[in-house]
Amino acid sequence: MSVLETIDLSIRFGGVQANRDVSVSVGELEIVGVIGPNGAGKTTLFNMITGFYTPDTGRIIYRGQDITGLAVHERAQLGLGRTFQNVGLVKGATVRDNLITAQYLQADYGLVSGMLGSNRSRRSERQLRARADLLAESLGLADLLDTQVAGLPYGTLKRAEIATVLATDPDVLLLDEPSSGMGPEEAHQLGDTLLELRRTFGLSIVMIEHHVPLVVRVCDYVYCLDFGQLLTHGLPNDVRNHPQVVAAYLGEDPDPEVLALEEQLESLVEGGS
Amino acid sequence: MTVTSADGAGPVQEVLVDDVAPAARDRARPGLLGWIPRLVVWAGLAYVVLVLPLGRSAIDVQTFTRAACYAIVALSLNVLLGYVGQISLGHAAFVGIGAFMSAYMMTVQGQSFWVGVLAAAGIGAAQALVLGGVSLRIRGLYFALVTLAYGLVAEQNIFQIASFTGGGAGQRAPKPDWFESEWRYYYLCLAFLALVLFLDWRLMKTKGGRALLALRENPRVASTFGINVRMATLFAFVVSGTFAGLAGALIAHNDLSVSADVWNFNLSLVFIIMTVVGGLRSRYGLVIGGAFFALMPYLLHQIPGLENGLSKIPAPFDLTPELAPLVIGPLLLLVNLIQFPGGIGQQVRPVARWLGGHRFDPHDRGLKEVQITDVRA
Amino acid sequence: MEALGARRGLLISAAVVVALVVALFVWNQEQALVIGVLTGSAYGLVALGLVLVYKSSGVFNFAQGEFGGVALVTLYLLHGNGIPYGLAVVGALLAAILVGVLAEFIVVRPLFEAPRVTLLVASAGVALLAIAIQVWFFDSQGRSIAKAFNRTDRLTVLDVQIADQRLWLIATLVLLAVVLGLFFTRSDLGLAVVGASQEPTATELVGISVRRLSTFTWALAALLGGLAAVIAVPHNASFTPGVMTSVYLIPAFTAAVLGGMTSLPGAIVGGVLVGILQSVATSAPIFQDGGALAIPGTPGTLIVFVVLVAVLVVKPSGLLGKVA
Repeated sequence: MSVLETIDLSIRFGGVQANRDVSVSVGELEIVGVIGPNGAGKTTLFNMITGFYTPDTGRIIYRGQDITGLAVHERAQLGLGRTFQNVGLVKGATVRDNLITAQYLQADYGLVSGMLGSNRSRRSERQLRARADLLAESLGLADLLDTQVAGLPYGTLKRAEIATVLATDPDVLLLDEPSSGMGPEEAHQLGDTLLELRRTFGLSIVMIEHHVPLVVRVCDYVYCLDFGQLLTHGLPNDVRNHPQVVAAYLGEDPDPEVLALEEQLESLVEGGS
Repeated sequence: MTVTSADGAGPVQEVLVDDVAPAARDRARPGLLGWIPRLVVWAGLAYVVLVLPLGRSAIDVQTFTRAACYAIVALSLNVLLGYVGQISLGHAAFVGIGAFMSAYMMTVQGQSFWVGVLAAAGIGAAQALVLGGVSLRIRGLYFALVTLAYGLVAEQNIFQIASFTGGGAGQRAPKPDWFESEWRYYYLCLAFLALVLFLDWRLMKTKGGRALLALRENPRVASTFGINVRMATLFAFVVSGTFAGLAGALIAHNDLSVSADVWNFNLSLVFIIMTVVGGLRSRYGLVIGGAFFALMPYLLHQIPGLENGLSKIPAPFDLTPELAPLVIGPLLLLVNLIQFPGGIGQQVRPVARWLGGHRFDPHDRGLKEVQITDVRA
Repeated sequence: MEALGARRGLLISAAVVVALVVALFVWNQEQALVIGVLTGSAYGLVALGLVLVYKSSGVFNFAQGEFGGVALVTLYLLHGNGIPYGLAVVGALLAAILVGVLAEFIVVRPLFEAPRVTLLVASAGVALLAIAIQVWFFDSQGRSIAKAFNRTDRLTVLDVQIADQRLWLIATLVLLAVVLGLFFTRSDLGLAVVGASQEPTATELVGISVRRLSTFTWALAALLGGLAAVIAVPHNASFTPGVMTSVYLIPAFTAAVLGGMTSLPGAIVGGVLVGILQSVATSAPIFQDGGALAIPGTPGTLIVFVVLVAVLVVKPSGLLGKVA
């Protein structure tokens, strides 16, 4: 039984068919990779799944429920969490503020009740704060809780973003290029983190990624998009070696020398695990 | 440690942070000795606000009350400008309708002051709700235009409804029982100001306020947090309108009558200016900003020789203190927009933090200042 | 694609106009046509200035009306002190231009890089300052200024007497519209102004000073505002400080929005439409006391507001503007 499924999603912007008949399926506790060259329509797919775009045709099923018509915040309520390419944080606020704000759905008191300073709201606020501190600590951000997000280095920002999306208490995480801007060391650590998160929080993860070693290491299943359509899908290694996938990334028949070099580099990184 | 924050649209701002880890710095509390100078200042402030007016004339106290009411208006406008990020160029309409409603309730409907105030807050909320709904469909710059037009509609249509506003003569608005003297009414308005401050403080400390700040800066991210952006926006408009209506009622009974010609475009602009100059999102800044603009004529009267000197200027060049907010306001606004975006609140912040028990840090400028520039457009 | 869109816009506008004219005749409100054109030309003039500033710096200039306010003050002072009318008018226009240039220098330049919202608020501040100047001279009383041309019986259309002064307004408007239209599409300077707003860097690279262009644009807009004030306002029996904003600015903005904020001809068409709608609102019995939709106070204000909101909600790009 899949936890998240898209059926023949298609969307068109002006003259461009950004996605055509994209069907992906994510099983419970699976980590699924979505790869493909730039402009393949991966983020568009995410935007449709999370509700920022409405598909022209197709459906999105979450735990058996058709969520195609739901608003973004309603899908968040159901347990869909996502990160953004340009870091989905409130930059003008502190890390702590972000973590607490992200727990919006867990603040179980009314807006007016909060304004009046009810006991219930005060209690809930304390809980939110405690949870924020815990999350920060588990991701090594305890020292930065009171720092404004806007000034943080990129790698830390990504960590803070993961902490924040976790604060929304998701069941399914959609990560948009979580390793972008990271070197091989950091990307490797990210892989560890993701596996750990799956274990600790019982998450299913879908990630758009360019970092091939990470995808191969961490993903249970991979979908490859190109020009808005599914090129192929399968186990990571199968997909990665699929000639069409290679061609899509390189644009032409691959140069065997370049391929050999790439393999050497990858084994170097893998060797460090 | 220097944290450089780069704003995509503006110049790079530098925030100097002490070398002590932030958490530890926050926890440093002054000992008993440290509290003494703070308490002295607190006492001084309390004296000025609570005791000094007792010795003043009734007319002066009326101005002080107006200052308290303007502070409420600034807090109300700040909810839109500073929390939601929408510009209202017609706020005089929000406040004015509250003023007329309260006067109408008392004079025509024979209700008590308290019912009048409640009705004023209610109608402030209602019209804000309608405008909030409009704001969901219309982008920021154009929405500003709509609010300006709405202000004119209020001025030229709504306030001309004779049965509601008493026509040209205006509507009477007597003070409530128990608070008939100017001094007592002043304390009553101070109490209302304290209430609004409390509500605003609680708002920002709870999920509602956080939702607003998030959606102001980044509505997409806010919705992934589960925040219903539409509802949050409407909620903020309602809060803003409630405060505005309340302020209107208080002003009405302070002046003992309400007439239509006061609630015009000029006043809306003065409101905007005093809010921005006071400092968006800074509660004490807003109070100071609002109060300052209300007190401007009074303060100018206090400068010895100024009035004498001004009266020597021949007509038609004669200046009156009433002109002061109209002239000083835009100049302050200019200075604010170009040089001090955080307004008075930002400049006063080190003192305010000190009074709250923190170390006096002259470089403390808070988080990246909330500027009028951050309004979504 | 775009050409079709523009043509569609023109066709729709034409259809709207025809429908409106027919409706007016049917309801015996055809005089509104004439009155609408007369008052609408003032709105159109102010709207031209609004569109001009918007096209070149993307700013909603809330001070556009009060540039005219300054001109009024100057005209009043000069003429009241014996200076011949013609010279007084020139002086008034120069004063308006001066204020426009000052505003650009003190407000727009430092905020060149700032978000447009900041400039909006800043321009509102300028407007307030200009109103302060008017209050300084006029107090809050109503004043009146003599008209330049006093003859009113030269022309009568549809039973409406058209004063000479108003004819001058229309003539000025048409002339300016043609000149500006040519200016922006044919002359180097005009093209540069439009180019500067869209690609400031490229413009600078080509050797054109974007800042000088900005000054020129604001000066021109101020001139337009001044002209509108000087020709249109003397028609009112009396006026008070801030009249340009409370009476002319919002209809002008509505006209600009209606025409599409980026279209100069749209501003004029919009101005006339707003003038007509306002005139209908003011004279149609249905909106008067006792009518089915009686509107208290000045009915025109409410109608214009409704039109503004309707346009922004339904078609923000207006009749002739490009799709936003």
